[in-house]
Amino acid sequence: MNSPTGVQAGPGTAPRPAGQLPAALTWVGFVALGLLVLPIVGLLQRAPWSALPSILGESEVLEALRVSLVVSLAATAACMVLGLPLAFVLARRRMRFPRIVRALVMLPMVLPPVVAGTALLFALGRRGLVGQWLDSWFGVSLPFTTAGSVVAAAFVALPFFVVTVEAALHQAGDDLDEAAATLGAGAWATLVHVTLPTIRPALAAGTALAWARALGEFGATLTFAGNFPGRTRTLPLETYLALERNPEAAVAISLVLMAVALAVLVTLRDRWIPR
Amino acid sequence: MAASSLTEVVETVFEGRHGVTTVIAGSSALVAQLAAGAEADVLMTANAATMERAVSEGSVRGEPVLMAVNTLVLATAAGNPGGVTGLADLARGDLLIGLCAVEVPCGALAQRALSEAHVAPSADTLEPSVRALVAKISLGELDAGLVYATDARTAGLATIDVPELHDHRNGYYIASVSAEPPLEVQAVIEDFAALGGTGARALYVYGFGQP
Repeated sequence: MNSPTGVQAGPGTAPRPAGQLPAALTWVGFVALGLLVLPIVGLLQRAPWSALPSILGESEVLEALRVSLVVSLAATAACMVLGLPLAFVLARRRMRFPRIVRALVMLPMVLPPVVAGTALLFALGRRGLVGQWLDSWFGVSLPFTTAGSVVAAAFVALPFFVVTVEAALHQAGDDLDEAAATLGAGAWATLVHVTLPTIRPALAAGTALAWARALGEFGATLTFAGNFPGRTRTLPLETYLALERNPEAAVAISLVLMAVALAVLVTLRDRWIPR
Repeated sequence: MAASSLTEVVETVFEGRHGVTTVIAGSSALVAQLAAGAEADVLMTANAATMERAVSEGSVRGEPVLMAVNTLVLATAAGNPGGVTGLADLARGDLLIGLCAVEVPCGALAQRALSEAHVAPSADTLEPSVRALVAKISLGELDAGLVYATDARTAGLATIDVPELHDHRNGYYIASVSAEPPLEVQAVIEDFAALGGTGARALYVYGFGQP
């Protein structure tokens, strides 16, 4: 994230030298880091390093990797296209019940994924509220298709994008937008040349969060779209099944998942987020 | 510790009994938990392979006993919209067909039954648990699938009796974790393994077959 350059020292107090933190805070911070990293270390020390190339070369794993990339990237694209307008509506429009609308937007974050998948079936399944019409009018049925996996992943990932971007829009305020409008810029020109560049770090962070959530998605995808190799079986589903037949393979596949995620997240940070 | 397909049986038998804690999970998961040091008195698995693994890993020292068998049935969505009549319909590409993944016992059983009947299924999903498959059939999202007789009965699914499936059975095993179990643990095992016990009766009520 950005360094907190905006923080001002109060009048009469000497400004803290950069990097000096209360000791307790630092310690607890490191404990938290340990909590996050320790399970990963646990995974690494159980990894079957010598068997890694043969396990990861298996066609099922490569196929699951392909499905995972297609599904998570498509879901992220959907989150950006749908989430940006929603974030603007939440941040800029006067609404009657803003708290309720915000809570609704965040709901998929707290729903157990299996419940999310079941809810999607009730709504978009072949017998679902809307799904039955999709099926009879257009012959479109989402469950058990790659498109269905994308919908499930987008459903759980969208709030991460919207919440991040909306917070940034709030923080940025609309003074700059108004200034641009006063100077004669149209609504679209203001959006593209003023607002979006201002919130660029949040756009990048929201995109990364949404993508990461979509990549690791398991329960909603499985419940809504099922599990079929080459179509809906993503890496997390492959890992789960591998756990039944060969726990070592499951560890190996999780390593791929983590490596892909780390690579993308680190690259994203370096390129998009100013230091 | 009991396999998830035994959920209702275990709940019925131990309901209201104090001092009994039940852990329900997939058989493979239970065996892994025992190997990792989880404490338990009795293990019940949904097939022979998982029980054998627990014995060979040394986490189960008692003698496993076959207490029940389960068979597969051809289950259809309510009203059978796909017009399914037999195993051969599972090869139809115009239907939405679900099976268990071969990694779990019900999927391995289905694969054996289908290959013996020379049916190449056109599956749309391979579910990692029989409960997930049952849910999708009962919601009408799938036209048909092969599920355990017991799960189909619990969920009230429409089923078609297929004689080819009768010979393919999964054995349910019960064993004491310790080699010399206390009397009350022995009593629980006998209750399930011997005809007429509360456990054996509950198994029968929920659609399990006698070994």
